[in-house]
Amino acid sequence: MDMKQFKLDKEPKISSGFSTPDGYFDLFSDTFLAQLASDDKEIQVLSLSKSKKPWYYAIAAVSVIMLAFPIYTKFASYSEEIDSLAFDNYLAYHVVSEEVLVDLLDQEDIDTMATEFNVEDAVIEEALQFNSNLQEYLID
Amino acid sequence: MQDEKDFIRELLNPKTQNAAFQKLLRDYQRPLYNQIRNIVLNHDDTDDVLQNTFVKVFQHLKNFKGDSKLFSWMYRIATNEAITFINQKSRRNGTTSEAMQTRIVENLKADDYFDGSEIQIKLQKAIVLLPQKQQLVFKMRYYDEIKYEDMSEILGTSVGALKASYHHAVKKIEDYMKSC
Repeated sequence: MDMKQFKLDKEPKISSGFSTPDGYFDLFSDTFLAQLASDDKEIQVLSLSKSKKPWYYAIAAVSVIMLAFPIYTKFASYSEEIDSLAFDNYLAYHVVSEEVLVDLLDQEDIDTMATEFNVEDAVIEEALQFNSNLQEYLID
Repeated sequence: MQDEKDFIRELLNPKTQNAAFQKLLRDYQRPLYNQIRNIVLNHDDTDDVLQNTFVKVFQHLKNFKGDSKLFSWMYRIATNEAITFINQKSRRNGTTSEAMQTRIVENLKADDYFDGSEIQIKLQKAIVLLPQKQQLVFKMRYYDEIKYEDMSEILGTSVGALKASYHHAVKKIEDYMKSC
């Protein structure tokens, strides 16, 4: 192969060179499904033990609730926790653009970043040089 | 598309789920493996990420809205999982994902699951010098021959930008290959 005349689309396709262990794909689905089944068993909810005196537990539960209720109503604050599954699903569906991220910053954050990231012009130029969207930015 | 809707119904139906999921694994394990391996480079890490990907697919299938192709959705999950993996691994090692990938490529000859020639190593070295997203675009197009329209669904980038990115990547790779 004459490297001086190298043209990617004119040369025979160069494969990645990556390989896998023998039989990897033949065994993958069985191994994976077995792992999935075993993981499911581990997260089974433990059933409550059958006590001869369940009323002990009932009294304890009621007591805890009665004690906790006034504390909860005084200090409870609404917090929006992101369900991890919903968040993962959001990431799977959405690519968070830089524009969205910038919109989430206030001026104080931006000023702080400007001080912390004291980027020289040469560094910016180098980053732009390798930016595949450069032409789009220039058009804008 | 109707075939795909029927297939998704089978995946969600407890009676047909097992057989359907086995088919899903058989059909998509290789392309998703290749996508992940292109990013994480190492076989063992790829195996971990591939399993995590299918777990996520299994868990979130009921939430799949069908506004993209099933394979585009799975590719997107695989890509996100792989990128998250290398970012976390590089942070744990006190380095950047770019530096980590460069180090892996420099040591490809020593990798048990790399049996490429000098030209293949050279191409990998050329690719790792590209910006992250451009690497991904190049590998998806050149190695995996994914159509630009499908790539656009997976990466959330316009077809035009992807074509431009690939064109720039090819130019840089050719310059590198000629210079060595």
